[in-house]
Amino acid sequence: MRRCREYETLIGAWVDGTADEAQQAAVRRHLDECPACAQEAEALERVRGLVRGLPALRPSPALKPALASRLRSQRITWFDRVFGALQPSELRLAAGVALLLIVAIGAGVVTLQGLGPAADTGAEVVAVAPATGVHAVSSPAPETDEYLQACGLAHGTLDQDQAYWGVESVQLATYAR
Amino acid sequence: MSSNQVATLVQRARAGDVAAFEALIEPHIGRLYSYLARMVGDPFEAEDLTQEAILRAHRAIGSFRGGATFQTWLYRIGTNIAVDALRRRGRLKARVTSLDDPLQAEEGSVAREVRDPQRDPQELAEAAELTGRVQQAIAQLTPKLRAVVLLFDMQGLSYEEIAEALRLPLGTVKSRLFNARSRLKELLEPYVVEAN
Repeated sequence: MRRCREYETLIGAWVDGTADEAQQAAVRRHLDECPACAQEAEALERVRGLVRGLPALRPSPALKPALASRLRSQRITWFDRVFGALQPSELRLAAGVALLLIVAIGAGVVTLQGLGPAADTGAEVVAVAPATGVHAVSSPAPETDEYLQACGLAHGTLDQDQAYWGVESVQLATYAR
Repeated sequence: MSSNQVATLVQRARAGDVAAFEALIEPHIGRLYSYLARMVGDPFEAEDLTQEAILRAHRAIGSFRGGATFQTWLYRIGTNIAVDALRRRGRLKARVTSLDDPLQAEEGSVAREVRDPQRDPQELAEAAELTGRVQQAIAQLTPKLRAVVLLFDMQGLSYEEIAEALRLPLGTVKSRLFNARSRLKELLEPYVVEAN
């Protein structure tokens, strides 16, 4: 029985007519030795014949004119062009991801990174938003080469001072990586 | 239609040329309809779904990048729409097409299709009954199995094209096809055994 299971895929390919010559020879040998598999293969072939024997159906003559009319009146938005082929479930997923990103960016925080003290400046990065390049750092927000190097940043610009997540005197600065 | 012609039509359709899109879709309408009618087991609903699939393809032609053939892309959209329709209406087991429905085959209606002057009425009745039984059995498959077996056996797509159309690994296509046939064998046992 175990050996027969190993032949399942090959018998499937044989019935589908997609088995190569070596596979066909192997299946034939097995079917010669195994009446149960031979009967199964024959039944599957018969099933395939029944499905293939179903008549092709054709639409009513009204379909094409109706379709032509709807095609000509259809308005296509940029959204359709980009997302039109997606399923509602795929659209929901994309919308969910987009919403999360918007919320995260809106809050100015995407990920938290405890990068630790930057060099010997005493500054510490407490939050980083890679998408916007905005970093909240503890006061002071030095822009020394050591600090920038430690954070993997460059070209820092101090934006503003403000309390941030309960940390007093935190300064927000924009850096480029 | 050559791949160059398809590419040209796709380009024109993307630019808003409806006639180009119609030329692109024309060779596929009948086959898409036939596939959807077998998927949902309802010739009237299949007309709506065919329209829906083609309109969606028209809206989304800008996103067709040519990675898949136009045909497989269209079958992907059609399959998604059919599966959604079955889900939406809460009948994953599609209702069975009645032979009394005015189904039309490429060479005439279903009833006419099985009519053959060389065959006697009893033979015709048996052929019609068999067609109905096969459609019934297909309707009892899950939509996933149904799509694979119809695309392979009725629409003549290859394993690779089905994998592309349904976004499945090749191995999954093969195993679903095998499972679909095994299930159909159980459902159609009297007919299969009779043939043996």
